[in-house]
Amino acid sequence: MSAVFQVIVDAASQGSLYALAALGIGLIFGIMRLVNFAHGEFIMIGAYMLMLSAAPYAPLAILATLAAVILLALLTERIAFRPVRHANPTTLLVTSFAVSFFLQFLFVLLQGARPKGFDFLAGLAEPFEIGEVRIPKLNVVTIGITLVLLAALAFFLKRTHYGIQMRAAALNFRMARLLGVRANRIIAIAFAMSGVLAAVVSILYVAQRGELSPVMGLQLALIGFVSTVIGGMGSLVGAVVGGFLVGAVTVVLQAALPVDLRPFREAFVFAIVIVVLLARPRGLFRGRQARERV
Amino acid sequence: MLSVTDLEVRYGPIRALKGVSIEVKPGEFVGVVGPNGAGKSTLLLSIVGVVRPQGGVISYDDRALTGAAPEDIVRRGIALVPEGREIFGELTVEENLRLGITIRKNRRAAEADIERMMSEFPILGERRRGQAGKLSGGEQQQLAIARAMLGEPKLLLLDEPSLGLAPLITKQVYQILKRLNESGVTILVVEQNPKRIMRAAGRVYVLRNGQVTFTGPPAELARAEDLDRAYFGFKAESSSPP
Repeated sequence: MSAVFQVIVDAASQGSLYALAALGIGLIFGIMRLVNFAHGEFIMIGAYMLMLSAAPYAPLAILATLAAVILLALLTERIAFRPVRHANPTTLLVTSFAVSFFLQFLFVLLQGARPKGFDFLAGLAEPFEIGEVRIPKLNVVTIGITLVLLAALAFFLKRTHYGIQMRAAALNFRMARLLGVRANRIIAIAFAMSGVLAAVVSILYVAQRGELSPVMGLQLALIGFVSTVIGGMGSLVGAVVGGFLVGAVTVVLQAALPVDLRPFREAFVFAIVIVVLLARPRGLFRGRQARERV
Repeated sequence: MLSVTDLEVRYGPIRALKGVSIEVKPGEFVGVVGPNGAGKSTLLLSIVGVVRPQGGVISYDDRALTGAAPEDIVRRGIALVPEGREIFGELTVEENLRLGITIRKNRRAAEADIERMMSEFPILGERRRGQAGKLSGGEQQQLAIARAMLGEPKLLLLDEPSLGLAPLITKQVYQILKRLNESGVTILVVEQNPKRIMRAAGRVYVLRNGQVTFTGPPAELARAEDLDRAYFGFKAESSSPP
């Protein structure tokens, strides 16, 4: 029984990270119909910023990481994506790959290709002990922060003027603009929000894994993308559910697979993804991928 | 107030508007009628900045509009109720109305206007928390007009407001437009079916194949011969049996 509870907590924690990564990608896709693969590099650069600023005081490093990734997301939108905003989806996708590779190799150049060990918030590795169950504090913190961020995002989208404008823009950007919604501002807000989500993933990921490398974002962006596809492209709820599902499947397979097969865990995860998509090609929640872009 | 001069719009090789010129004066109720594909919607979309014309000048209150973005044009006082209403079906009625006050600076007055709009259009007040997509066609048209009016436009453009509506509902929609016009809002309506607009408008343009073929008061156009000539380019033969 305690083992089952342990797996549930691990799955929720892993799922939280994936859900936040998926949400960052889903948010931009909803507004611009752009699959931003550079989101992985937002996460990677956040991790390096955290390492470089961690020395004096951890809360300051967290703030510096948030500020740096938000700025990076805004600059990427302004410099790389805004000029091609009205281009066809292929151009947008190629641009996002170009930004992703550029940032990745820039950090290979600056920091070297080898992974670096970095213990952040090491105290959170200590577990809570409830009877026979041992839950690392970091897992609880990860789940807690994810729930708070999801609640804050839901409040923003439902209750604020900019949130309603963002939802309207995701549904019909042309009509939103005809009512006075400023395209540049609303897209910049979406990128800033995806920056916040990426920065939080960087912090939690580094705290969990204790290492970072220039290619660390690639897998997270891929899983984030797969999660949004499973959830239904264009549906934010779908992205979150997709992220939690992929996280849960990953953890359950880790526990259930024979030891010899565990190195091939990802192959099983993606096989399950294929089965889900064969059954529901448009994802679990009806997405809006067919709608027109900005 | 609004002046469109020699407007040229092409979609690839197709010339949608071929030197169209129209004028709308403050307080007028002007209609633009014409068959399907005449260029009516293109004309309105050019005015609000969605379609970029290849030639000609659009000016509003003696300042050029050509090249301005839709979100800036609506701030100059021109609102569009597009064809098919384009309400945000997945948002609530109240959220749709809230989008109408995007450009308003005085938030408190704007919030009060949302409440006033819901009492002026009681069905919107009753359904304020319901999904806008579940309203009937006529109710959606009311929502689209109320949403546009919340931006306090001086010039209201409407693209086929009677499309898909029952005659009784169309009559109600035109009564609303008449009331708005009497309260000082200048109105430019585009319709494929000229009957309703002939009763409401003070002046009518007929657009055919991207060109203006008639300008004048509706009474003048109402003479069958003029209407046929303007619409089809020739006097239609009588279809009554011998």
